[in-house]
Amino acid sequence: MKRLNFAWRLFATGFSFAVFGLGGLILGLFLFPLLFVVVRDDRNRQAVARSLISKAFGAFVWMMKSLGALSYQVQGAEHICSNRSQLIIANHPTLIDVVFLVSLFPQTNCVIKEAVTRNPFMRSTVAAANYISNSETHELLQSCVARLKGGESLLLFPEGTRTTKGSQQLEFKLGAASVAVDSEAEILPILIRCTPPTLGKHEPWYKIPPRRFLVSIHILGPTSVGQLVPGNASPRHMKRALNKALLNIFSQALS
Amino acid sequence: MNDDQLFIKIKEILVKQLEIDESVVTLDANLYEELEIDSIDAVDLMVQIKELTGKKIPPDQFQKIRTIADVLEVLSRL
Repeated sequence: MKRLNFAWRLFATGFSFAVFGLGGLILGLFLFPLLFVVVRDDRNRQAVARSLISKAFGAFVWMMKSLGALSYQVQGAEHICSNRSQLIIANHPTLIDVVFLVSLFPQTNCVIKEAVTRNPFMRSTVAAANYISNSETHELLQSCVARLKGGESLLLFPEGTRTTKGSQQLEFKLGAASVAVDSEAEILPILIRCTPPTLGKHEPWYKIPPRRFLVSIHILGPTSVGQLVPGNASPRHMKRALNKALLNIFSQALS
Repeated sequence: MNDDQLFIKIKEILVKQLEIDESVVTLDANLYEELEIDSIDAVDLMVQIKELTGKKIPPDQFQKIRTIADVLEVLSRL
C-alpha cells in the first residue's frame, strides 16, 4: 500500500511540475503580453497581474492537495492585511513556500532572480506584475525600500535562498533587516515548516519524501523595528541588532 | 577633488557612518579583514561615494576592491 502511495505521489509531483511549467509558459507567452495591450494603466495592470498570479498559485496548491501530494495548514491568517504595506519576512525551506505565500498575499511585491526576469517565457509575467529584479545589491535594497514607502507590501527571505538541508543553524543575511530599518515598515514574520522536508536546495523533484508532506505556515503578529530593537542606536547598529533579533525568533520557533 | 582630499572624505565616511576607529583607517588597510566592514557596509560605502563623487562603481570592479587605495584607483579610472 505504501509503495502504491509512493508511486502515486511521485506521479503527482512530476505531473504538478509539468503543469506549473506549462501553465507558466502559457501565461507568460499569451496572457501577460495580452495584459499589456488590454490594461494600459500601469498601476491597474500591476494589480491585475498580481491577482492573476496569486489565483493561479492558489489553484496550483489546491491541485497538489487534491492529488494527495501535499497538505497544508495556515495559522494567523487574521494578520493578513491587504490595505497596509507590510514587510513580510519568512524562512525559505522549500521551493513551494513562495507559491503559498503569493497566494496568501496577492498584492505583495517579490524579488525575482535575474535568471527568471531575463527568461523570455517569464519576462512578461514579471514585467506585468512589476516585481523587483534581483540586480546589483545597492539598487536592489534601494528599490525594496522605495516600493515599501510607496505603499506596497514586500516579501523577503532573509536567508537569501532556500535553507541548506542539514545545516545546523539558520543564517540570515543583512539585506532584509537593512530594508526593514530604512523603510520603517511594519514587519510580518512568517514561520514556515515543511515536514518531511522536500523540494529543498539542490534537491531534484523526484526525490519525494516517504509520505505526503505538510506545509505549515504560521503568521506571527505584526511587529516593528522599534518593538524588536528598543533604544536609539545608529541605523547601522540597528540593522545588525534587528537581524539578530529576527534570527532569534525564527531559530527558537523552528527548532 | 584630488586623491588626498578623497581619502579624507572616505575616511570620514568610515569613521562617522560605519563607526570604525579612526586610528586604523589607512590607505592600505584591508576593508574587510582589518576594518571589519561587511557586505552591507560595503554597499553603504559605495552609495556614499557615489553621492560624494557622482561616480558609480560597477559591481565587477567593486568585487575586487580591498583597500581604500583600491577605491581611489578605481575612481580615478572612471
